[in-house]
Amino acid sequence: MDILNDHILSLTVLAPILGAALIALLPIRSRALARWLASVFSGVSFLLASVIFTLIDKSGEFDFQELMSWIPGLGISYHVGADGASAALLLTSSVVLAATLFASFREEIAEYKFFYSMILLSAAGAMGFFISMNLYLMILFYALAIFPVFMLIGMGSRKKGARAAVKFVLFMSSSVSLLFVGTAAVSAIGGSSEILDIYSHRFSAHEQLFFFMIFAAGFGIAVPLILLHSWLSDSVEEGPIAAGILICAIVVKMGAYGFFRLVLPAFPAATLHYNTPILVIAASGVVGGFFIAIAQKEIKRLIAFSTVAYMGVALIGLFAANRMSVTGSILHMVNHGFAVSAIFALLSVFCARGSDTDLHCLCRMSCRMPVLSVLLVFSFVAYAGVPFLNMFPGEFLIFLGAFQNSTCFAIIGMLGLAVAAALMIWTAARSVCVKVSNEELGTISPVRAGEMVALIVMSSAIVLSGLFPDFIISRVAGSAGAFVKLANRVEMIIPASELGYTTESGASDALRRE
Amino acid sequence: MQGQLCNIDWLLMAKIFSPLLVLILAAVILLIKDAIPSDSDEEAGDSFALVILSAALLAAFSLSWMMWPTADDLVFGPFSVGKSCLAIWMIIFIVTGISALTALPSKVAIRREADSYFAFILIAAASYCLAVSSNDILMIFVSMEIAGVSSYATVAARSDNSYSLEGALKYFISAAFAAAFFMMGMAFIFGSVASLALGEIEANSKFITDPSTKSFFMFGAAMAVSYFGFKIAAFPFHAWMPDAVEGAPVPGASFITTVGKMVPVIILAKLAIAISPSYDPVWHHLLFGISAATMIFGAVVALRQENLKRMLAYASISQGGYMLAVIPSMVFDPAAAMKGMVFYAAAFGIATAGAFAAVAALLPGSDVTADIGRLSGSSQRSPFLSASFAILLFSLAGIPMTVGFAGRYYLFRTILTGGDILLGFVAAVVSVISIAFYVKPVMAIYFTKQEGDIRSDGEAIYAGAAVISALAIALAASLLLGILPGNLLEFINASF
Repeated sequence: MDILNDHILSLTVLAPILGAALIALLPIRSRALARWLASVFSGVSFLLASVIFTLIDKSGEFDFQELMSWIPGLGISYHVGADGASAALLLTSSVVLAATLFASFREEIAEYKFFYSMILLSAAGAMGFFISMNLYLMILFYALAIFPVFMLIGMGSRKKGARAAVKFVLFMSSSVSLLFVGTAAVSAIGGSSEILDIYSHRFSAHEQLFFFMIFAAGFGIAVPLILLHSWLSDSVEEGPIAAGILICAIVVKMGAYGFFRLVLPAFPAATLHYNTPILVIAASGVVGGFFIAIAQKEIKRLIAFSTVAYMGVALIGLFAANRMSVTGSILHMVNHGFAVSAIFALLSVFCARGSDTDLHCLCRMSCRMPVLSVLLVFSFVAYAGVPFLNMFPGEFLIFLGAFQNSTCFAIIGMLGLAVAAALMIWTAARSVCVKVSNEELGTISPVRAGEMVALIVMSSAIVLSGLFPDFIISRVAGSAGAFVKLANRVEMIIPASELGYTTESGASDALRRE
Repeated sequence: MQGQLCNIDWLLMAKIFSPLLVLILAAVILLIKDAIPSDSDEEAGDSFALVILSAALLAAFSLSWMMWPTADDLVFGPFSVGKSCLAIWMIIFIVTGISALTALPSKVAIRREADSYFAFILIAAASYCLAVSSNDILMIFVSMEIAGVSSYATVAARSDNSYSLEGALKYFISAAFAAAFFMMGMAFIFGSVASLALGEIEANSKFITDPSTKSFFMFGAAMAVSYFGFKIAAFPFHAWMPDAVEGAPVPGASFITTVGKMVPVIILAKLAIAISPSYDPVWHHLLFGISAATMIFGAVVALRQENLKRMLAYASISQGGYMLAVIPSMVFDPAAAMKGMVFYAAAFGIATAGAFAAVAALLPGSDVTADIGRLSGSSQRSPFLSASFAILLFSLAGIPMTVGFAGRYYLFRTILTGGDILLGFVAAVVSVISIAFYVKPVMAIYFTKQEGDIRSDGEAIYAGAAVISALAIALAASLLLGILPGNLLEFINASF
């Protein structure tokens, strides 16, 4: 049991990686066995993540830490640890992984082994990203989460040429490149790539502004900030549903988590400086995202644009930087992940029975699969942010907090959410059909018991986390408090003479010491 | 000079240079065997040559490995061998091995010249090693030219393919020009500092006060830089490389893009250290410009390539620009910069040679044509070869979990510590552009859908044991050193 105690975080991440390796390398030619393996390994990871989340320290300290020397020559260590926020997102990733596998089992993919391994790898990357306490490790896991999604989009794309996949990989590799240059620069100047060391290192105002720009742009592509968002809709629409879930439920969260873990707490002076511009971008993302979503007839595209908007809401929460709004922001990210997974999982069941993902097709299918349609309507209602369902508490907390110090943006964001609520309920209404002509009815395979159980579990999770949000809030609030303290540090005002590379000699000394 | 030669401990020198002697010996054996007419079948001949080559490289590698822990900097006239030199030798031996082993699938192409072909590769590798250990510009020149002459032969080996001959001729003519430049540069350098030894150039160039002498010195050094620019295929001097690589048989192409590029970069770095006392902003701007232009040009042109070998050639031009990017910061902290560059060169060499091995394995007849489109569907014909190729390309693109990422991270850190933010920025932008072409073969492999049963139609993939082992070495090195780069890093740290 000691191994389990000491390395529970690593095991959570390792389980899907092992699963991916087994599926890819074993000379099996059985779809069932591959699916079974994938499910088992994602199940193990889910169990471990839930244990971690239940036992996590509520004070906001990093818990379950593991520290191993890894590349001493560059001062890089394998250092993982979880606070409430990262444990919550770790759990979300494992749930999303299960939902993604569920959706992918319903797709016809010739190279299924490769496909399933890529899903497992991507989720493992995201999990590792959420628990990394070393910046280098974090970027490594970030890329591990991103590049498999590229393969998924390309392999599952129905259109020729895989244009969306190329777009995705170019945007994302720009993001990785920026983060990677930022990491190299931060560790060259600050002397360490440990996140806690970066927090405590006094970067000059000049350096802070520079690093803020680099990392905000890098993570901003993934969030995505509006104007950097054009990869999202295309990838989600053209890619398979599995890629859609991973993108909307995990990849965008990694961007927001990057802001939460690194950008705001490490560069507080720059945060103060850029607070208003970022809030403007986030608020226009909320409004713009929802208004573009109104025009969409294709559900995956609609979800993609609403994701842009909902992540804008999460960013407003983070940049308002008080305990309540930040708690709400994390809660919102978790619940958005749940809701998106539920909608996409339902879509995959429809698609497996010959439907397409546009509203017209879904509408025609609805009368033949009444129970599923009810579940779909229910998910959309939850996604609209209706009270007592999961999306509500997070949004409520964000705006309660944001009203205190960013009133204007809170109001804009709330107006956006009002549009969203109307839009989602309208979409729910459009996705079911009341009247249908008889000649369109053909035979379709009934919903299997396993599918039904999975979907009902997801729906009940939505209800439960809406009714008892405190289970998550109590664990997240501590780390939100720690974040607020770091991000609101009243930082030194640095004289102009200190600008530039004041610490350069120190950095090269550190390099020599290594 | 005479006095120097008398003072050399020849036995010790023979011991230290034994790895190179082994390579030369193997080359001589192969050449002798080539001269004896035989009736035996060609396949046996090929295997014999490959066995000799692998054994020689393995022996050379183990000899250097054994000498490495106790090696001190020993000077033998114009040569000096120390830990750093042995480390570079070992990297050269590994990369040469991976390059040469790709020969088997193209044995049809090389035909009867197999023995001499491998002999040329061995001689070139040995002379590149000699160039690395030289401390004298003249000796560097002589060894580089021996390596060059052998390389032309490896490019020209397909006498039935006009592209092969064209590429070799281009290579030969531009190299001849470059050599003429270098000769003239040497005259100017000697005239201004009265020596051709790197150490003495470094010491004497401090005392140049006369402006006209200084300008002579600068002119000579610029000529030397342009010579290495030709050898590295840096931007304005790159034109020979894509044609030579496209025409050459795969092993030759692989060898000239990897070892043929890594060694001149390392020597140019040594030269940059030697001329650093007279460091002038002009140098910085010149090297900065060459490096940035090479990175950008190689990447942008690689985007448009449909031929895999040509694409890899342009990609390697761009990679050469990355290695050059360290040189401007050579002046501030030579040891750190050298480490960053050698690490990157090792990562680049292994992954590129591996990628060529994958090309040889996946595209039969890739000596002549290597269109990217022909890769389509190969993920189903041979999943493991395809996956290895994809991983090696990702390594070249600098994607995490591969040695390419570790190398690039170290390189960026070196550039940024040297204070060259702008060059770091250019490198970052280019690394995004480079993703766009490195994923092209991956997309052809995985994203193109083929109708019907792919296993039966389509070209059969013929991959011999040699090419598989080359690929396996490259893949294992890329992944292991990507996840645990610490060992290679420590090795390089201890060497420099």
